[in-house]
Amino acid sequence: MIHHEDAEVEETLRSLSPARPPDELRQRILRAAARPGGSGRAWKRGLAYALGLLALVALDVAVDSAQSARISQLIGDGRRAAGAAGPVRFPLRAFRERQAMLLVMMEGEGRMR
Amino acid sequence: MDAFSCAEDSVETDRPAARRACASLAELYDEHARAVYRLLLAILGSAEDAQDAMSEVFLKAARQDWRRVRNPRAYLLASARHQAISMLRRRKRERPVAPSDIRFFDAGNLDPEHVALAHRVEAALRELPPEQREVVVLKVYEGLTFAEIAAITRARLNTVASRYRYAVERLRRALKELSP
Repeated sequence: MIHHEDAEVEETLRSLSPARPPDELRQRILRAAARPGGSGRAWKRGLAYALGLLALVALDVAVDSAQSARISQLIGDGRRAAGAAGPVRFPLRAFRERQAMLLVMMEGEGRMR
Repeated sequence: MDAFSCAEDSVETDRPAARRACASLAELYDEHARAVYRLLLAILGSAEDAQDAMSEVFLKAARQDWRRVRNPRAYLLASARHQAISMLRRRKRERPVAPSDIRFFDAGNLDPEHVALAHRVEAALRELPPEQREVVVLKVYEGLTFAEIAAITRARLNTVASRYRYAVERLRRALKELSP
């Protein structure tokens, strides 16, 4: 009984045609889809990412250079402070020496205070 | 010139990929536009909003990699529903639509006897909540099973069946009351 009544309602609904999308909508959608530059957002995102990465690298170099200049100033190497340091032949040894020198300097400063 | 036109299926472009995309979108539109529009109209109840949502749905579809989609119709209906629900939320905040604005049937294509019936059914449909209207449309006009509707609406099978039962019951009652 219930199913029969359901079928009647369904039949009534099916007898009426629901509104159809207007014809011009098809053209509008296809034209909009065909417009180039749809992937512009991805392109811009890529560029922003690359620029951000570049800025980070530049910041890292600048900080490193400033630190080197400061250390050279403390150690007293005028050439390095001016940024004209030559290639380091023994980087590990140079690093150890720099660390040792820094420790000595810091101890010296502590005593002065 | 980079721009080209998809209009009237005469795709004017040097780019084969764009031409293929355009042709497949046209094909997709011709096959599923009516079903998508019916569902959007049932949820949104406004032709203008349904058209805006249609544009969004098919423009998103144009960017979709269809090799990964097993059932384009289900995909489009689910996408349309998602779009309609976000529009409905936005609209509730911005400009609520009066229930009397809801036009579901194409009165221009109906004979006079059916026009009166269409008005009665429309009045009954207006009384239903959108989630019941969508189930009615998907079941009656698209011929989907409750399981398929449940997958599209992301609702439980029992929920979908209950929504349909309530909707049909209310429609039946409303049609009886409204009949002269």
